[in-house]
Amino acid sequence: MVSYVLRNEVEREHRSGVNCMQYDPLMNRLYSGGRDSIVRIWNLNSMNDPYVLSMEHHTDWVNDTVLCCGGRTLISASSDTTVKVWNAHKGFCMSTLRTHKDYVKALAYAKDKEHVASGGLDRQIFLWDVNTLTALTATNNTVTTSSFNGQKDSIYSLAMNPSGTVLISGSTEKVLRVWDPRTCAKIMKLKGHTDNVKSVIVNKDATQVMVVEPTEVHSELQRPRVGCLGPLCQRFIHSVLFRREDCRIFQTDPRFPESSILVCNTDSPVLRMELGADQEELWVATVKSDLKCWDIKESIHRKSGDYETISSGPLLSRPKETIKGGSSIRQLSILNDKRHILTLDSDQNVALWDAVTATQVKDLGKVDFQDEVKKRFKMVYVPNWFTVDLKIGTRQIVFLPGCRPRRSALESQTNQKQRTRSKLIQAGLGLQAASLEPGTLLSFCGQLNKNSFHQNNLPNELWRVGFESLLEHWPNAHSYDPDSVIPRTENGIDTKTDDIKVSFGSSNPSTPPEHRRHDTLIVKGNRYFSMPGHTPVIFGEAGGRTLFRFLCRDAGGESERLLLKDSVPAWVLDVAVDNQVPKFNKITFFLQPYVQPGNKSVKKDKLSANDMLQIKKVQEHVYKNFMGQSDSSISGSSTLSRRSSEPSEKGEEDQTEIAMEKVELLCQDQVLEPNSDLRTVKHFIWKSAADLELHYRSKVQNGTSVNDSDEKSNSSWRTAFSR
Amino acid sequence: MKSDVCHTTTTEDGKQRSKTGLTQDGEPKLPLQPYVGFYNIGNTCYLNSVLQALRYCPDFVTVLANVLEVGEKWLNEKSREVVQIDGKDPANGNQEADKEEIDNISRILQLLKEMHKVFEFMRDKEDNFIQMPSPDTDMAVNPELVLEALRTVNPMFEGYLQHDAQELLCSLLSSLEEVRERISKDMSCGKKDAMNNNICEVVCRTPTTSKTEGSLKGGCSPSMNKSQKRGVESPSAARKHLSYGPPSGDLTVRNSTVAGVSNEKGDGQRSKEFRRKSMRNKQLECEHPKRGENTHDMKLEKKKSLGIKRLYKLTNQPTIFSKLNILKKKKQHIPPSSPLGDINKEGDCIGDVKSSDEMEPGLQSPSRDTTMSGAPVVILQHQGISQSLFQGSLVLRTKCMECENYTERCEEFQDISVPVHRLKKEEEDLELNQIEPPTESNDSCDVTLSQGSLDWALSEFTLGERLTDTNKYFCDSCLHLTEAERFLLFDDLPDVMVVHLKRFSALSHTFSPGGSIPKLNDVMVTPLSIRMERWCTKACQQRMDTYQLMSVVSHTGSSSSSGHYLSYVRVPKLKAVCTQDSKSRESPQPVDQYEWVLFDDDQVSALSEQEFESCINQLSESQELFDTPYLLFYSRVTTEKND
Repeated sequence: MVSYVLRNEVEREHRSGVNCMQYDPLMNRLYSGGRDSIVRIWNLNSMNDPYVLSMEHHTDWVNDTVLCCGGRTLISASSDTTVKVWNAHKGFCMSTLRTHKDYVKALAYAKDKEHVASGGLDRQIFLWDVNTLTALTATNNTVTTSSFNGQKDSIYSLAMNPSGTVLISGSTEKVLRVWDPRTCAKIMKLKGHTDNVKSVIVNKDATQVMVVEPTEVHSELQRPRVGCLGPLCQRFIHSVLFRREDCRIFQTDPRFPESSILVCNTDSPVLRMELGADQEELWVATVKSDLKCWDIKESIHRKSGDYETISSGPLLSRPKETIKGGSSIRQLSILNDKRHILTLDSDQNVALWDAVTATQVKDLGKVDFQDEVKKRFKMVYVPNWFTVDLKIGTRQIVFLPGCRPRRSALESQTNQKQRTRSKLIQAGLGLQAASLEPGTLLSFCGQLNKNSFHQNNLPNELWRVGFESLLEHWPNAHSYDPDSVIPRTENGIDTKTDDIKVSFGSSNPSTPPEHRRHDTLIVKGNRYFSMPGHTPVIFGEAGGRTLFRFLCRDAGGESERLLLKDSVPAWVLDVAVDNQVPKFNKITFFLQPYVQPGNKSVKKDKLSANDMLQIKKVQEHVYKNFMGQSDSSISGSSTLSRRSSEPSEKGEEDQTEIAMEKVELLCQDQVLEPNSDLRTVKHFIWKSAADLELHYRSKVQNGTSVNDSDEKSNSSWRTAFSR
Repeated sequence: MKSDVCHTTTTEDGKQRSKTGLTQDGEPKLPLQPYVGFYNIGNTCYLNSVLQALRYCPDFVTVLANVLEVGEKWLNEKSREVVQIDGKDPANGNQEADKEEIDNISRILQLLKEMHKVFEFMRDKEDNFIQMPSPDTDMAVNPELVLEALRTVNPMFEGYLQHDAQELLCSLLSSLEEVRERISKDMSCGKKDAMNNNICEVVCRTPTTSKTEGSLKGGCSPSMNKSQKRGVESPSAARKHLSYGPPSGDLTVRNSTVAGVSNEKGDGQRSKEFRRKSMRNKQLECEHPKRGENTHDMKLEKKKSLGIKRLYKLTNQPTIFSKLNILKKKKQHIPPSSPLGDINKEGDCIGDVKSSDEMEPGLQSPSRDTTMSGAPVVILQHQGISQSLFQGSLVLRTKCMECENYTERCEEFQDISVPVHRLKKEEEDLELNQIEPPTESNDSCDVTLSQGSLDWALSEFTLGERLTDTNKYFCDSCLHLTEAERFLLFDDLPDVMVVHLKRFSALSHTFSPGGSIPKLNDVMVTPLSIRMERWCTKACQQRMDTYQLMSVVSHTGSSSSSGHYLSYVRVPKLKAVCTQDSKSRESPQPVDQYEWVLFDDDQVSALSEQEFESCINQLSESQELFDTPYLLFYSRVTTEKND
């Protein structure tokens, strides 16, 4: 699985909900880990512009973070199944722990021992010694960890006391399991919960545990209870405790659980609370990207006796500070050309993106999303070659592995011609590649200038072009252009000269020998455009686990080069390095003379062609074969494409035009557009899995003459296509 | 195919009967009980027992009569129409399908008629007996006519083989439902003046029109085996029957069909899934647009098949449900903060059907079946036939573990199939729990239900699955694959709730050499009354329904291929017999007005409550043959009556 992310170069704002926060009192900094996969550092001393830097390395939601070693080290857990250790001050990733097999949901920290426990949906808990983790180097990178066995369900919450004597895990099993981290032994199980334990905290000497579970509608009858969803924030476990009830934040004294104060209302469900400076500030993160700070100085000094007098309104009406967040994409639609994407973000802005170049085409502002989608509908059918994942609040393009070419596709020894051909396909970017047989090469080149990149309606090879630009900085993927006939074309894409001469010593050994030519131009990427250098590229397993993430521009770096070599899937190599083209899909269809509905047509000739064959080519075929044109030259050929390839390209084009004037094709009684292709017709007009049926008739509405010629040509048609 | 391997003869039955002892005790008693039994005309105990149970269902006979009345009027009207069309326009493509449909409906009506006749006849007989008790009276009737009619409706009952009582029940109920729906649909199409005057406007709760069924009959792959074909012939039979519980490899015929379907799709579907969905999917998949038919239908079909195909490509989610989710676009997002609010505010497509939801208070799941949302259906109904005794609805709720939002889908059911046997894995789990340190038991307030109670079985039934690991759920609110929990809640409980105990389910290693399906004889305590609140949605909870055990069809014998069906029915005592139908439930009769009667084909005996309980709960150790409850009929007791 290969994916890349469409984004801005610097993402200063959280794009989606914020799952976790850590406050560093020494530096007065706030670390926030978001669903946009980025951990951001905020400097709370300068609230005008608090952004310090982004720590980007995760590829999925960051679920939990802990700050250890007096604020020097940050450990983060993510849904990309990894736990990462960061240098918190400088913001780089020191190491990645890949022991978990599923989302890592929770971390717990024992301050006195500098131990961190991580637990996830893979039902595993691992205990890490932070000092070992920070001492890891490239050579000494083995970590020993303790694991806890016996957990039966996905872990959603973990808590450890500062001295590291007790570890508590909350899971969907609806029990709390208590462990001794020193021996990794089970101590006990606390039963009685009715739902998933979403949040748990433990006091210093591990005598009390506080737990949150979401109330469930269907269990209300048996157990009416105060509903608390989501996280707890501990102040002193004996005095004040904050909890969230959906969009409200309460302050409760655990000794008098009935007396709670409504501290404030938030606009969306709370994901995390963190105590800020002097424990008089409460930072609140919600499913929206803003971070808000509430001044709780006043509320915590209330005595328990005051509780009864509290009115129903919230104590605080307005947050003290807000760190503004950005918008996240909530909805998207891949347009029919399978290239452009329309997105709708949480601010109701609509934007148009180009998946191939990984750039934003146009910001459409606040317009109706569905209208825009309809407006941009094109009658064109292109198979899916990517999906878009919105999980990190921005667009992540995922290549569909189903599109990958089979290795055997083009390994024949007529390689040279085909290589040229594939180059041309690549160059034409969506010209009717299917009609490209060796004989038509020149005509194809001729068309190249006429049809600009953006007008082409069928970018069949988009995904491969995409690959080439994704890996354009990777020397192994540089291709060699034996003929260098095609200049870098116009198409609005800069003609940055990155054709460089390289000696061949270090080049990819997998390149077939006949392609190894010294002193040829080395072409980077796909000649047309390059991806923005900041585009993150992610190689992952089919199940979604990330194998390797790098920025597009870094692919040429020393270590990346090596890592890439190990992690690039073979099918990507085929495309990006060996320039292989996938097999074209064949489509079978029937071609019949048009008859008035009611009369039954007897003859049915079954034909097969590439599914990208344009209707005008079929028209030409009909013209040549059924409209009295000479057909001696083509008898014996058995496929449409070969037939069309035989005449000289000039004459062919003329013929096509004549044919387009004289013949029209119908499917389901609908006249077909000459420029659409067979798969589009099948998808939009035929709408059935059965073989396509096309009817032809003369455009001159002289029914008798057409029928006559039909009869005449019928015999030659038969001989041409029967074996 | 269980039915193929049944070879028990009547003589065997006789032996078994004598061994139960109960009947023999009853037999010598004179005068005879004033209840009419059915003769066994060759392995028809399945029919006899189910008919007896149905006969004493409150209102069943009334409903039957109503449906018959309206149905026959409809049939006359319709056949006249067809004849007219026949004369006018021979090129009408609909005609054949119409004829077929009429044939089908008339066959069903014939069956209902026979049933009604027999019931009437039995009642008359009982009345006569009460007036003139005589030991010489022949107190049993021959169910032959019913059987014959049944065979024309459902050919699987041909021959004198043994059959599964539950299959029969499903077949009967779904036939009844088919007629109801078909007629309702037509009435909605502005033909009410053609019908009689006492049609009142009732919005039906069954949005599934038989039009869908008609189109489902389209075609199926030739590779389908006989049982699958049967499923196609009466799709509603399979559709109305839900099967939940652990994937124990239930081998009733329909279940295996579904298993085949899931295997074909090869994407890890669970047997817990709604059978109906898989059936329908399957049928749609193999459907081929028929040419030369009504063009509108053709387009509709095409749309469907395309839709399904696209669906398979697009979805990452492996279960059928999620596929349908995408197809239907009927997902509901209900934030936890407002579980009751605005759920019904759905847009377009189900149209008027939806108003029924809105009319009902509180939480009603809107996700009615809208697969064939092509034509919004307002259903005008005859008072009598709008009432569906056995049909309730279930809500399948999928809750995201991340944000606690959930989506719902509604399903109708006519009986509930619950497991009787705990899976091996769970047993192991139990053992593990037991050997854990004793400290735990001190803290524990274990609420787990002991196996072998109906409560446990219902919990198993409603507990769906957890979508984890590689089968995560795509939450539309998180826009992320998350873990999710899926469970069932009763949304609307029927007046008569039929609980089917999955006794004939086999784990792969327990196949007996003869190929018959062994029976699970696990003891399942049958409570005389049950409350359903804990498995209900909020709206349903508020009704505080209590259900009273009304009849039990039980099976004696050790496997599917041998044995005998009996039915225990709670009937109003002697003098109440003549008012048994509708009046008995309404009139506040004291409880001792009822008694339990054991119908064993033509043998009828009355039991005291204690005797009855010891029979069905297998309290007496001495019983050699396993007389185990198989189908439980619970009828709703209104709350006032309860206290």
